[in-house]
Amino acid sequence: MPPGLDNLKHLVVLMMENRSFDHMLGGLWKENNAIDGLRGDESNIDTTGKIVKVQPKAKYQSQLTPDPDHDFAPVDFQIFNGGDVPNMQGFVASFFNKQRNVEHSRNVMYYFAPEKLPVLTTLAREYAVFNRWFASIPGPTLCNRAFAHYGTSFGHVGMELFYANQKFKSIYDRVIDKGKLAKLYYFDQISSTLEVVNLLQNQPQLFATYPQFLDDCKAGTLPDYCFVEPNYSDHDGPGGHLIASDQHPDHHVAEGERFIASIYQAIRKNPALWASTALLITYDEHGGIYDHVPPPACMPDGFVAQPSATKTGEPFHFDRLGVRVPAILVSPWVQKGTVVHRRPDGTERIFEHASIPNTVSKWLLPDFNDNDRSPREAAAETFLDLLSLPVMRPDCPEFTL
Amino acid sequence: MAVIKISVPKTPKSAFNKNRPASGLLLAQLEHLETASGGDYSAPKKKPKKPLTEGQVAARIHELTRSLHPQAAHVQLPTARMISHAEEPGAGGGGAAPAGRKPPKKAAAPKRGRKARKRG
Repeated sequence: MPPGLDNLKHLVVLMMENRSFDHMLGGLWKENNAIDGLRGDESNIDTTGKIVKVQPKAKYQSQLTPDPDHDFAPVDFQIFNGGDVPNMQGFVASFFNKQRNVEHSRNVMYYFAPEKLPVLTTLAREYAVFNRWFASIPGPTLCNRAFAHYGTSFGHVGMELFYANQKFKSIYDRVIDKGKLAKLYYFDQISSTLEVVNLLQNQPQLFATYPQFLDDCKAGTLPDYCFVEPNYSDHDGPGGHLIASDQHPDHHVAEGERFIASIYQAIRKNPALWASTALLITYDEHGGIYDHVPPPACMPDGFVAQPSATKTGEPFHFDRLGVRVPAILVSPWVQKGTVVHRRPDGTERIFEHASIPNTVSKWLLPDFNDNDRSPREAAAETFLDLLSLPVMRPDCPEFTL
Repeated sequence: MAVIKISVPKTPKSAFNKNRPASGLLLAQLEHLETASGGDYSAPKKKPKKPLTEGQVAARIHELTRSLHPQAAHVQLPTARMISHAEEPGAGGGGAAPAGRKPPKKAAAPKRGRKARKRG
């Protein structure tokens, strides 16, 4: 076993909101062609028939308001553009429906120049960036987050969250059942958690807040597995205004950068914790923002969403992933500049949010029975093999906030 | 080997706007919390004249989360300073020097400068 995996005691997952891979990291292709970002000629056609190419003109705020549609049917349109082939040609037309303004509809093709996102792009350059990490469903937030917790959404493609007493246990239950520790850290009680009905209602002991995360990092008492949520709303706190850090449009993207850096720094500054922790940063779904890679087919999870739920006139068999999102694995045991794409035999390594519970299960619960989780999760790619260095890196960057 | 230090820009104060209309995500979160709290919640059939603001939704989410998760009610709330000093001892509030508070002032030393000199 690689020493990094031997030393691993904690896995931390930070899930942000609603940004596509190309929107956040697509600009990195120019400096590293191994990163499957934007060449500059990717385009959509707007409602006047004009070609709209991608451009590095994304702004931190005020450009994607009202936020692009990302329910199941609009995402299906963004991917298929009303046809049968996933050509990623429906983003501008879909966004046009929000304001009926052609100029405004082009904003959905804009991506960030790398220098505007110093935290995310530094982490992508320094650690492992995934070329093929997709949302689990071509749909909105909550069903996608469900895959990170349960390895399935139990047939949901929308914002329903009534998962109590379902067929498969959450990854937290599974970990705790085996005598290990797991926790969800939400930001504060004003922002709260998006993992609510099944978990907060029935198992409040699973939850803690961001200040506790900082204390646990300092004390080296992080659980074996934990999931961190950003601040979902602008609100007043005891020290003044607290700006939302989830990066959901129209929240300011720079505050999300600061939040990611604060999570990284909290781990980085405790030497023992840093040596024994892997941090995965990803996004729940693309938020209706352009990406150029068509989502691939995937292992169905055994559920079917009916046409009344998909609103496309067709059922959905959970046999295709959602749009690609940013994902970065951080650890001093990861080779600098890793771009995760293909196996040695040339086949693609395709990740999605069900990769999270599968990775945790394979790591902490190696004897876990595949019949007790969704077929999708059991087939999902895992990522701890990336902790492959024989010795820990001494040159990992730090952020000054 | 030298460690690169990268400075992360501060977010402009103008980014804050708790009066923006609440997103569909926040409204869904509110609905789930209302349901989880045992209320007989159903979304209003008629759209309200004015959409709920982010601040209004956040205030209600706060109430509901307090009831669902009383364990966190006594934990120190985060501050912007806490994010800026995430790695410092006590940043999370559990340490000796809670974040967001200034350390107690030491006994005032005689001031230097014009006034002190005048006294002297």
